[in-house]
Amino acid sequence: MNPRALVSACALVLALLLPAVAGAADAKPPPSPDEILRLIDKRMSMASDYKGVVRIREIRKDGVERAIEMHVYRRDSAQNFLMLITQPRNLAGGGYLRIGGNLWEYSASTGQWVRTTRRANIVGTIACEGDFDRSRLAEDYTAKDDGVETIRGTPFRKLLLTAKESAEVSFPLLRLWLDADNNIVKRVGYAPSGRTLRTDVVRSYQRLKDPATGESVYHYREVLELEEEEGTQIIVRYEDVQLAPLDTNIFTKTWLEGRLR
Amino acid sequence: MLAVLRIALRNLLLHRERGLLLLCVISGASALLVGVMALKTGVAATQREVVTTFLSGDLNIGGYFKVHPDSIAPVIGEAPRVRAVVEPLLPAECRLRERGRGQATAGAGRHRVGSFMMGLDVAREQDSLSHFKVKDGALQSLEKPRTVALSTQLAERLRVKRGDITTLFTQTAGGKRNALDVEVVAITERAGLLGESAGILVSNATLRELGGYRPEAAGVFQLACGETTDVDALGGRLREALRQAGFEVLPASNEAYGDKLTPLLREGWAGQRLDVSTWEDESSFLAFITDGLSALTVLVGAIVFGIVVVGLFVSLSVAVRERTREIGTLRAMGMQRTAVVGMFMLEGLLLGLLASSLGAGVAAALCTFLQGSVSLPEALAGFLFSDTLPLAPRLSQAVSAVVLVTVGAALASILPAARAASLPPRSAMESL
Repeated sequence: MNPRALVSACALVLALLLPAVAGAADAKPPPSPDEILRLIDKRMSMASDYKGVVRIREIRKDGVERAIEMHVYRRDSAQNFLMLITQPRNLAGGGYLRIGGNLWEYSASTGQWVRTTRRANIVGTIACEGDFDRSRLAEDYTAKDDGVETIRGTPFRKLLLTAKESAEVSFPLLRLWLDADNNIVKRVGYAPSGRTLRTDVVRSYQRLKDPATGESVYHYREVLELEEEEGTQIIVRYEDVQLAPLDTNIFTKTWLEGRLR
Repeated sequence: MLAVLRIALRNLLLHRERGLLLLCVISGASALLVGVMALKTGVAATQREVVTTFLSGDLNIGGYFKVHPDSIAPVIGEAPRVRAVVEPLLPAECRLRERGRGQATAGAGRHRVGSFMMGLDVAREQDSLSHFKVKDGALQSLEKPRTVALSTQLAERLRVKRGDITTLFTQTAGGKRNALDVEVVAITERAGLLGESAGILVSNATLRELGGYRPEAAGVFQLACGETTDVDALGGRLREALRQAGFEVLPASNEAYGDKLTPLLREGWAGQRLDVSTWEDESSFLAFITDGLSALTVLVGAIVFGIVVVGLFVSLSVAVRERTREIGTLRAMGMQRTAVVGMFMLEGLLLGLLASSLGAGVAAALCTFLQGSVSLPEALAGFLFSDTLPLAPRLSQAVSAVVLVTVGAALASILPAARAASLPPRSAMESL
């Protein structure tokens, strides 16, 4: 082979290999499980105050249906949380208030405040306060990969989350199914004994713009929650979400007590 | 007399079929009586054991504290002062342990169950802890903060296992409601009705955190003294000493502390009142079980007595009629009326004694053999405080059953024997 032909051949090989080498340099390893938790938390956290309406439709095994409507107010920066029940009528005026680490349940019919915990179920449903609070997976859990499950041709990455020692969570063990964009599509909560407590299927998300940061925020639109043991299921819809400053007085017992009047 | 006894024995052997039938009936009735008495004793013993393990000491020095007249908590605010008064008065055989009292609702998921709650001093009560029958886990784990041991019934209703988390809800001394997440570290065996009504065990520290009590507050001082101590007399002495030390002490009443809460809440005072109660007071709401079994024992005793009297009366009356010629011959040969009476009464007595001894012996042996081996359905196990039939046969019970039946046999024999003795020799000879 003459020198010119050799140079031409080398140039051809380089021209062919260059895109592949460049692609290999661009490809990043998949994020670690803990990075994914941080990513999910960041994507779902709001710098602005939050106000929204949660509508729950509960369907029990015996066919009994119940509709509940609640107004949710959140100030994630101060970890304040308030939930005002507006439907059904017998529970209207009651709610839940969290200031810092303390969570109280208010019964409008008796005017009594009861200190409760994040693990306790709310409004007699299978839902917990944590379902409506900000996402804090990275704070509460350590994660590890749990393989990939392919459902109808679509692969979903699975993560197994274990609650940290001091974390106050509804599910000490949690398994997440994530789509290619690292959104939670399904989560199953377990008791430490391994018993399945609840299965959630995230049916849809809504994208909101946080006025405080100008960034897009992901928020659930509809979640199906199932309790297999009793055959109860609830459909939770997050509607009328507004990200705007809230009155400071909202996160007080007096404000919630005043709703009935 | 020996001749009369010999004649009575021969007569019994001569009428084997009738004698055997009577023997079977009387021994069966005696065995039933001994069985019921063994059951009553067994249930009473199991009840005492369960009550003094879960709920109470042999004697209790408890208290009620009202922050204001509208709230009440079963707690002693100044426990060290009370301890200082009580400890010097304790007999050598009594051991003092500090326990907590309260009522709580345990919740897991959508399930909620209300129950009495008992606080344990895990570090100092190692010997007492061995009295609890634990199905899963260990009560020593209660030393870890925010842990709970649940009874099997409660765990089943809440659908939790060891290692799971449950939430306890309770009312604090000031009347506010509090909640605490706790880890289930042990599940206790079934303890009858107490498993339902006093199925939550926590450490005193966890109880203080849940109830919002000060570190120097205590629920109750329980004295474990054993069955030989006169707890009523000791209770009286302690009540008097506490009054002299300046405490207000409630008068003795045969009620459990839980039953006293509502009436005391209605009263308009605020502050501290102490209460001294025995284990029988604390389990007064369960007295209907032992009372019912006592009534059943009396009923069975009466029926057994009736069977023996009627059975032997009929049998001996027939025997007198059948043996008129024999009686006439004996009378003609010079046997006195008293000897005739003795002969028939001895027949009845021998039969009663033999049959009742046999029945009582077999029943006592059977009860001993079946102890702890007959499983009970859940509903019955709740009332009898045990998963298995609690039988505790006693020699005194067997003896009393034999005495009762023998006395019944003697009474049943009097009239037929008197009739036989009243037969004139001539009329007896005429029937030849």
